[in-house]
Amino acid sequence: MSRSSLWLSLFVLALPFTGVAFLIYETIGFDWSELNDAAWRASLAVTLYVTVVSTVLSLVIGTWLARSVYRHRSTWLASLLRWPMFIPHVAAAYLFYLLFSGVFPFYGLIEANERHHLVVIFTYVWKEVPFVFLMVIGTYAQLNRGYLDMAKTLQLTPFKQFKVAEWPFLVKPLLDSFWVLVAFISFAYEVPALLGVTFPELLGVLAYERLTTGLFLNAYESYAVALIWTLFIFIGVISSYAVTAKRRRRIERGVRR
Amino acid sequence: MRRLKQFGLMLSLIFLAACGTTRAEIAPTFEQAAEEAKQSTVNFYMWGGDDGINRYIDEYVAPRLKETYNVELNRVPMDTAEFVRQLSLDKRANREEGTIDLMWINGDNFRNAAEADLLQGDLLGKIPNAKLLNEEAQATDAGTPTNGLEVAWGNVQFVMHYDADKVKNPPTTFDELHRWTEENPGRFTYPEVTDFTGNAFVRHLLYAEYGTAGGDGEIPDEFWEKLATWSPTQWKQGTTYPKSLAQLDQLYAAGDVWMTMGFNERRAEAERENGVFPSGTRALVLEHSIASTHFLAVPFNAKNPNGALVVINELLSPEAQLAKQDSTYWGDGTSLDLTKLDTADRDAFLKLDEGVTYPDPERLAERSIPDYGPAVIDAIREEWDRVAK
Amino acid sequence: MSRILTAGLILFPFIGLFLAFPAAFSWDEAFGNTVIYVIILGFINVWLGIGTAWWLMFTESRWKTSVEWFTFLPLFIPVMASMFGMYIALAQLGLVGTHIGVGLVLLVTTLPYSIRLAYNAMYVIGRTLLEQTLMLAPWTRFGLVLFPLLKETIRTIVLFSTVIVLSQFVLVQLIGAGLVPTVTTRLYQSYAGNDVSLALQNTWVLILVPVLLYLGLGGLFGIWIRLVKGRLQ
Repeated sequence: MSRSSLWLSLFVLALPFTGVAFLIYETIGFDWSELNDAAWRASLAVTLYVTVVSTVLSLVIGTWLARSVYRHRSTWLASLLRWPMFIPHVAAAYLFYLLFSGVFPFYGLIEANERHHLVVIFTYVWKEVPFVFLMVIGTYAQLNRGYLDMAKTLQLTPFKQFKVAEWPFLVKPLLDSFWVLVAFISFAYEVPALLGVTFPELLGVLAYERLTTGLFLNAYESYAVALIWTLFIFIGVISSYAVTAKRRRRIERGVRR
Repeated sequence: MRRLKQFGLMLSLIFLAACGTTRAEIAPTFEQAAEEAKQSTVNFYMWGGDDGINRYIDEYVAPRLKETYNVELNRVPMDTAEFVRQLSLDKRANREEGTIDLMWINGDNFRNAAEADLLQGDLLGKIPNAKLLNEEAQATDAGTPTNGLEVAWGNVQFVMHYDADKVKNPPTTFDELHRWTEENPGRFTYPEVTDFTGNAFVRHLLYAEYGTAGGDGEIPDEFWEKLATWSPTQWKQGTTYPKSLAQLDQLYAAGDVWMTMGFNERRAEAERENGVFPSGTRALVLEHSIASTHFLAVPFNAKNPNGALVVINELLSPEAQLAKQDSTYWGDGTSLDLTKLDTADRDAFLKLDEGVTYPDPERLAERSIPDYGPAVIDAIREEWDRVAK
Repeated sequence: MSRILTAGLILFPFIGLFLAFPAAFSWDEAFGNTVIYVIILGFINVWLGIGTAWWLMFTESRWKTSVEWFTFLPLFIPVMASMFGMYIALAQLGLVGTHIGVGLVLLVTTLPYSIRLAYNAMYVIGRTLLEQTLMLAPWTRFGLVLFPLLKETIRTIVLFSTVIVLSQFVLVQLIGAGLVPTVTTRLYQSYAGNDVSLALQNTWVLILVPVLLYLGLGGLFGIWIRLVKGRLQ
């Protein structure tokens, strides 16, 4: 049973790699200096800002919530956190757009379509915190309380307790979540298209725009950007997993006892 | 293992089926095309953002085609640039039997499609109603010669609309418009220049400044500096712009801004009657207005090109053109030459109701200017970012 | 107090749903397509996700590391980077503009998540417990042991794949060549238009589909678990 599903999975997952192959084929002979224009540079800066802020906030809040659910056994919070997961990103973006473009009382304080991209970040954090929570809560569920009790017995500070008794086990789920979020947020279209501004645009929006409007020449720019970005994330993923591999394996062995 | 073999067999079968297709042939005469097209379906790809236009196709054109020619019309809503991209991918994949039979296209999308060789040529000779066409409208598309690759469907001019309840002394020139935006901060904006309409608005400003001399694709720095001075008093201080005309219309409908704009001098009538636009909506014609024609084209890999010819012929019939110009559905100007029609048809066109939001037709006609070529459209797209900053 | 604040923060965006009353709902092709896709893809994701994860967990093979990366990396390929190549590949197979083609690319966007979720869940349960079931016939193993253990994960996989499927607009539009309307493609057109209540109506559908599916599965699974538990006595 598992073998046939493996083959089917491999066949299906070969498809996106044909996409990457196509990009490589298309960008042969591309003049890379063309990417050095103001729009792409500004886009890279704002994309990094939005991605890093949203990802870090989601990771911190998600972990913190999982931790308090684990410690206080607050099942109400766990079931509440399920709600944002039901909402597709498009729909979430539209709901935030409705709320922050004039209908809501704090219009003017925070609003959609402004340069700090606060509502974009807000939307992502709201959507991704439950995701991080889900990834992390599994780890907490199987965490051996003995480590924590030992840390307490040794009278370590709360921070140290976290560092020695919880953090080592969180590395893997957090690393997973980190890269999933970075890859998703940095090249998404829907949310920033609805909530972002004309300049600077996030990478996904700019790439899509240059792809569908105007000259075909611009398409190669988008292909090139999509390719670099994909490879950049691949390298990030592979190297960060390689760096932590040894540590993770040691911990995994420990967990299995 | 056996399962794997079955799977491989299935795959190779799909491959064989895919490779066997060839390009569909166009019949030599219209009569034969109509015969071939019987009981077939035509996939008509067109921008789907306007309810009136959609209803015109679905409620008026499709039933007529079914009745007269026994042809099924399937309207597929999609952004123009997207299906042009789809065609260019088809070309790259050697997909000889595509999904698009007929498409609505103009401007730079046409230029791109023509350059990439995505369109069928020699359409005009096979379509009887094409002899009624306004030859001037048919000749060029935003400065690009059409060369028989597309057929004129409608002919409109650029017009602005404002809410007369809020704007007491409407501007009469683009300079006055600038002053008006300064006096009424936050009440004016235009779509991004990647949008067809937003780009056209900037072309009007360029024309106001330099006239026909602005058409060489070299835009002086002073122009951009001057345009940047509009920003502080625009909607959201010019930090962001509506992504599309539909979004500008939303802002106008909600009363956030007091002016909107667009190709088609009759486009606001139905919106006003339906209560979407404010009842004070009136037309605003400034010093000049770009005339624009939009077209129908058949892609190189159309599966049913004969059906497409039948549909084009029907869309160019005086009755269908008349229904199109009526504000009930769309209000789109005809691409036919009225002098080529018989008197009854001509009178019917001339008799079409005066609309509350229609500009004075004579004034509009005398201020009509031809479009700059695609070079200017591209230049604006590339350099406008400076203003958005 | 802090509970109310937390609940408020999590739930306030839903206010948007009640800003305008959605017009009457009607069943149409787009809605039918969406529901069928969601159900079929949910099923395939559970099947392939668990099957592949099982292989990754228990099979000793020198290809294991490569397979692991091959099923993991697609998570990080942006849809926009992969869709043009997929279009060319599917055009060769004659699958552009067909339901199968759209289904395949939707599977591409969801399957990596499903494999990962299934793998993580099995990992948490532990290899030792799962190994004991290897003696059982596949269907018994799945129905009586794996399913009860993994039922929450299965629900999560279905929820995830549903939500991701419902998010895809550009991809469905391109690979479906506009001929495969879904609630999402229609939603985009209504977002671009003037009609807030129409847009909200589509948003409601988009949210209700995963919610109902999740609750429905919860109910169904509950019945099955009760049956299985009955065997304990």
